[in-house]
Amino acid sequence: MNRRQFLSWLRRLAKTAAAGVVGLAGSRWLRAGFLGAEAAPPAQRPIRPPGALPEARFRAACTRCLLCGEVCSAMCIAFPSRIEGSQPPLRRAPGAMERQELAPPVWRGDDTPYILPWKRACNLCMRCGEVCPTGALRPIAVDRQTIAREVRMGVALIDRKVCLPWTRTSWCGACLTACPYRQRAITVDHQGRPTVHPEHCVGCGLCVEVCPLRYKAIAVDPPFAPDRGAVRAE
Amino acid sequence: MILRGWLSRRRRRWPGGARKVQVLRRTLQLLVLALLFAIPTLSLYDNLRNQRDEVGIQSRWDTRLVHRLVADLEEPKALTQAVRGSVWTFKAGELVISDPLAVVDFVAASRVPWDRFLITALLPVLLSLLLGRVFCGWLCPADLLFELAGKARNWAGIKTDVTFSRGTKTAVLAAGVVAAVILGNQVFAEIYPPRIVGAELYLWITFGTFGAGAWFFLALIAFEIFVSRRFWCRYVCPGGALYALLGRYRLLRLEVDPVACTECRLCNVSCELGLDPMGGRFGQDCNNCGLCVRACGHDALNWRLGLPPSGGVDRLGHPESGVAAATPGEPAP
Repeated sequence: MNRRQFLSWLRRLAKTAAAGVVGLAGSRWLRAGFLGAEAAPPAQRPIRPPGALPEARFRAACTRCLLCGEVCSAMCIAFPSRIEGSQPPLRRAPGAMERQELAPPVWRGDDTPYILPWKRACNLCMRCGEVCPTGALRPIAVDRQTIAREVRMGVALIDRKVCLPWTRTSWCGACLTACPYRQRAITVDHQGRPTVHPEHCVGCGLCVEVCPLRYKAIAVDPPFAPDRGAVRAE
Repeated sequence: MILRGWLSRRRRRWPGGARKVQVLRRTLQLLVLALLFAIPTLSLYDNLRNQRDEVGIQSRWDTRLVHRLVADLEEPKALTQAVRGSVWTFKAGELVISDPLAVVDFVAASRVPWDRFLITALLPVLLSLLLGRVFCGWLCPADLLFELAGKARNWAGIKTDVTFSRGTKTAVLAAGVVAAVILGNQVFAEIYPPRIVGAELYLWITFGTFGAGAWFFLALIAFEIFVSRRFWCRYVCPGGALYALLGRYRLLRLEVDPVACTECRLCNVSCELGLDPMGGRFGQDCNNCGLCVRACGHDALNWRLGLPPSGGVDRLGHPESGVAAATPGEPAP
């Protein structure tokens, strides 16, 4: 090896080392970003923002512009790439087994909007429908009656084998307090045990957010199946 | 010694016309990139402020900075809510501008002939009809990053350059439309680098995580550096194909002065997209970036505003007859 070859070898070595250092530092930084998966309590599923079209039409119309997430005043609209620990809806709640069969698999990580109510629930500000350029989220007037009539993000299901009043563990009432349609969508009996009335529930998930149990005793079951609309309309 | 060389190169001369155009182009591209950083930060600040979350605002350096800037204003919302979105769908006040590819994707997936959303692509479509692939070279944030990847490629001395057919991207566009119609799901959004850059920046700033698109974009950058130069823009990009088709009969074109041209091929070497401006064979793929105009040492290459070539154009937008014979040089092998 002569001097010229040695120098060019040195140069290549320096370049390779520099690339390696940059790559290692970069991979650490990227891992920190990429591996932040959403962790869900069991029996929780993401729901669509309020005013969303039926699932098939929503996926066709949503242009993945992320505007709904930008304007979301509750900062609840997320674009999860994957959710660890999320399961089909509650097994023990009445009717949940049937709905589980209806629910199609959800392909996440395609930058369509979801709400993860166990992290942050929707406060029904309706800005997302206002900003959506394609009408995948319909604009709905910010009005209690209109919202109660038009919004069906899902229906809350209570797991009676976990819920504090239902298991006679303690008094609670957190879901009743958080519910924007309290005494209609959620009522409690004389023993403080909550019941959801599906015909009044808009599925905002505020009850899920405030449920004090680590493994939430309440979940929102999204109407992803196409024939859920007919069931809800009754 | 290296530093001295760099300085002397910098001092060479004040930019002339073609160099000023490059300064303008880089400024625009950097502005778009800066907006892609700024818009999610402003939105995040706006939402935190709506929730009166002072702790949340103060716990991040970027929202803290925004807070310092807008806290004293009479109407902070006029600034923090002024602009939304990214290059895929941009919203300034009531004005919504979206990428024509988004509209194509929407129409194909939802199978509707008309929607209010179609109007939002009007402005880009008109500009592309007049100026060609000008969005690719002047506004696309991915173009800037791909050009940086090209710099890294040159720096590392990588010579491998796999070439494909230029018509591939039109085939990708057609295949994507068919797939969107069949699946009923938008497909271009997932593979369109400008949207991915904007979306990933938004996800990173807002949630601190990246999505699947970041992996895809990193793979593209690696492929650009190690395998094929600017392969995405040249051969694959469905958006580039759409803009190229729109700009097929555009009015802004390059023109070679056959007297001044010395056939040095500096323009062909400088072309990021590997076109042949010296032979007049740049076709519909030219994104009007102006690198070839800057490279020309004899002012033989310039822009011309006028009607498209009279003899018609072939599949790739090259002049069919007449013009090619009059210009010097052979098409690049």
